[in-house]
Amino acid sequence: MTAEVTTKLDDEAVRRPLTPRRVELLVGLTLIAAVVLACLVVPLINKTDPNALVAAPLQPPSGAHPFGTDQVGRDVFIRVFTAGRVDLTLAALGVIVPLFLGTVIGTIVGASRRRAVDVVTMRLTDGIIAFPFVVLVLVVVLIVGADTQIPPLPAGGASILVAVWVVNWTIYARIARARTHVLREEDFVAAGRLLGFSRRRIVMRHLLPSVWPATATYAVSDALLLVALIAGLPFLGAGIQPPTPEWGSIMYEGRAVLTQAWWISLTTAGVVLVLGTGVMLTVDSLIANPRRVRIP
Amino acid sequence: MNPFEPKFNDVPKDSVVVAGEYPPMKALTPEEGNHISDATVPDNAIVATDVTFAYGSGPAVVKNVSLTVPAGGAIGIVGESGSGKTTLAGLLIGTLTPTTGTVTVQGRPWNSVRPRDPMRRAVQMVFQNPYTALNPRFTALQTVAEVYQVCGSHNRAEAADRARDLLKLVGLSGSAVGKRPSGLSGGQCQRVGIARALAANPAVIVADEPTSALDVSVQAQILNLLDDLRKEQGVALVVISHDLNVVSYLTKTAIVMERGEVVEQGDTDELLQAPTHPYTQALIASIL
Amino acid sequence: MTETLLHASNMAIEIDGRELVSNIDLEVKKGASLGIVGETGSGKSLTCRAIAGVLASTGGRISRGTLTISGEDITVPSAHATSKLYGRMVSLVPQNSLSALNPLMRIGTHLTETIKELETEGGIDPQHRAVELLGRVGLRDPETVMRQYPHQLSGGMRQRVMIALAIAGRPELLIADEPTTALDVSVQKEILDVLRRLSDEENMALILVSHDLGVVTAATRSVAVMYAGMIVEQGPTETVLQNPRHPYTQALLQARPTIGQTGRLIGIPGAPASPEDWGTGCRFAPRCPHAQPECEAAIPTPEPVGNQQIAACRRVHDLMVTHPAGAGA
Repeated sequence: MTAEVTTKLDDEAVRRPLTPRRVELLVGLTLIAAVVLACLVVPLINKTDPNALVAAPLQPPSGAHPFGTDQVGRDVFIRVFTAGRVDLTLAALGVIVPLFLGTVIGTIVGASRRRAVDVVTMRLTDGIIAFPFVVLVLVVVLIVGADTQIPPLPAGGASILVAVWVVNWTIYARIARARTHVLREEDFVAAGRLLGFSRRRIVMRHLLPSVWPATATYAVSDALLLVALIAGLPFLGAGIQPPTPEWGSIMYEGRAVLTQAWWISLTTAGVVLVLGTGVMLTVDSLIANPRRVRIP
Repeated sequence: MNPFEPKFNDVPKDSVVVAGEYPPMKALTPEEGNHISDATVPDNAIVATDVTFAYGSGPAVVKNVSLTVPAGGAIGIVGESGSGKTTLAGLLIGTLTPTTGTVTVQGRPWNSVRPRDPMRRAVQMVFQNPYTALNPRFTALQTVAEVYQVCGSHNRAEAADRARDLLKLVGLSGSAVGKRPSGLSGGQCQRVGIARALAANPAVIVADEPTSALDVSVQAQILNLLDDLRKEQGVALVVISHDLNVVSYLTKTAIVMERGEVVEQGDTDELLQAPTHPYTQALIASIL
Repeated sequence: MTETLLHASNMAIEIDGRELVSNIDLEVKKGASLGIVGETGSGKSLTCRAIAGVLASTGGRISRGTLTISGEDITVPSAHATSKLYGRMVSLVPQNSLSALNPLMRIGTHLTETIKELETEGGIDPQHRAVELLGRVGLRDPETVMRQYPHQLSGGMRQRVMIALAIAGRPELLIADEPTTALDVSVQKEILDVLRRLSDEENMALILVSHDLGVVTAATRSVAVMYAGMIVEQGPTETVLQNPRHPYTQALLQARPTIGQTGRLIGIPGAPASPEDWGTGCRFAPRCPHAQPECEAAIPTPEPVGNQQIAACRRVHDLMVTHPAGAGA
């Protein structure tokens, strides 16, 4: 037998494949995947024009129109999933850019020993975070112009994205900075410095890879918050302009006829709920990190 | 019935490090940034002269300490918590700057060595906790190969080869080399840490409690490894430990610290077998 | 004949269906002191928890054999046993004193709460008793300590407080789990002195679990050496130390450096075996210099080797090791 026995530590029992955490993660991802897939696939299969008048208005759900029709006679089913494409795309774009920007900036600031860098950046982020988020978004939207259209984004989409990018990177930067502060005290980082590794190398290869999990986990729930924000904007007069379907505007328009035609708002809400539950389960399972009791 | 079986004086089978069986170690050549120039090989690897250190305006944590680490020698620093031994380690390594006094490495004071100066690599460290000393996302091979890439400007393939050789030298080979710290035992992680330090071809390795987090049976392997490396590779050792037995085994001279001051120093064996200072005597009396 | 306080018979412990500790036979009489020594993966901590009744927190259970304390069978945890035994008859000094104490509660409150909980008959002033306990564990200024918070005390002082809490219920059996880890050398000795003194004064049985052979040697009269979930050697501490019969014990004693030793240290090749590596035979065989093919065939049964010493080695009678261990080469 060779001298080096590759062994696991301690009395750690073998991890079973299906712990409650794993189940939670799987269910969460399945729910998210279901909604995303539906938004991709339904408009491909069902060729109904979401803006066309296809039947009598305010029809309850039926075989031909699973989610019924709205006040002007459009098919709600196709509208909901077409809207999903819009919302999800905006959410994804709205999260990815701040995620990368914020994580990189936060890590560099966290790794910097120069107090000035830290103070300036933190006061800047403090300022942005302190401002009421929605107000800030509205201001940017108004500056950029609620109607500006940059294809292929729908009208109003560009302004929302820019607003979110300007504001949201700060949260990721904070998370990254905090995590980096902890990491840079670790022995292996000290070892890197002793070996003469450049600051760049330490940040890129030793700090960032361990910072991503923290910010990426937040990004998943941020995406959902973003969907909620976008859905809420029409209620404030901003947001995606009609007639482009968007979850928030569908629900907004459905409010007026809620008692007669519950299906307009509620089916939309149901889809958002499924997505939200999936995100919540996924994030919960990733964040909760109970280490098995280590028996020395 | 066999009346006699060999006692444990023999080297047991599958012994990890056996003198004379090392594959030839390809150390960094002078062109690659080996700090030791052929012209002048100084006698002393590290010299600390009347060093005092205090954090900010607080009390001195290290007071008037002087010591010499001879090239290829081994010196022990003994003390309990609060003795200042960890701070002294930081001063010897150059991460802390003395409030008064100087620490020179191969003749050059630390404050003349910039972070990118090859001399920075002359003193390396082996840490107490074998797991946190390694990047959890790097495999053993990557951890060591990186040193060759950065310090020796090798390309990936060469660095990997050298890393493999070095890991084999310290007793890690086969599939273990491709594992991350979480898949390795404490002893194996410590070997990786030692290999990483060695890859920089240092003049001195400062080992801070190198075996106190390891099982007894593994401690012996690592202690032997450090001892062999010093003898075969000529690396000086500074061993910081509360464990007098470890210091006795590895070092020729030792200093005993209490509350930041050196209370006794000298030949390790003499110090431990016939201590003169009451604190040293008390420490030895406490050995279980 | 002195009363038997603890009796474990062929006890096995499993977690999630995996047996991690097997064939434990232990007996502790009133006033005795036993050390359980083992490295990583030896199962000593699980065994310690089983005895102390806190196995449930690890998700484990005693899967075979029996465990009896003071005549009461506690193989299966019961509420009755928990309320009657633990804290009173049997008490545990847990491993990590810093996290075992409530950082927001003064030491005095820790003690008085415990005392009130445990004292059934009235007439005892908890404050008074608390100060008395702190004095008994060797704290020099008990009244001051009563008013302090855990973070204000040194590691050694906190450990003494943990011991005071453990003896508050006047236990007949005290279990100390790694009582000296993370303490300075000089403090370690003091803590062991406290434990030994209490054991003598109260005729209290003591079980000391540690990875450190020196600790166990200093404070116990008998010792059980564990490896890979099993007891490989048991006997009077002096005897086991002077004349270890199991190859693992021999190797362990040889592997420690001693002051003034001239020869090379002989370590044990490889690393302590973990459950995946356990075969059907002797679990130490892969690392044993004396292993023969038949060693891997079946788990060796404990063999008596004279003077109450037992070693679980198939070849123990073949290997007559007469040199004193631990003396260096």
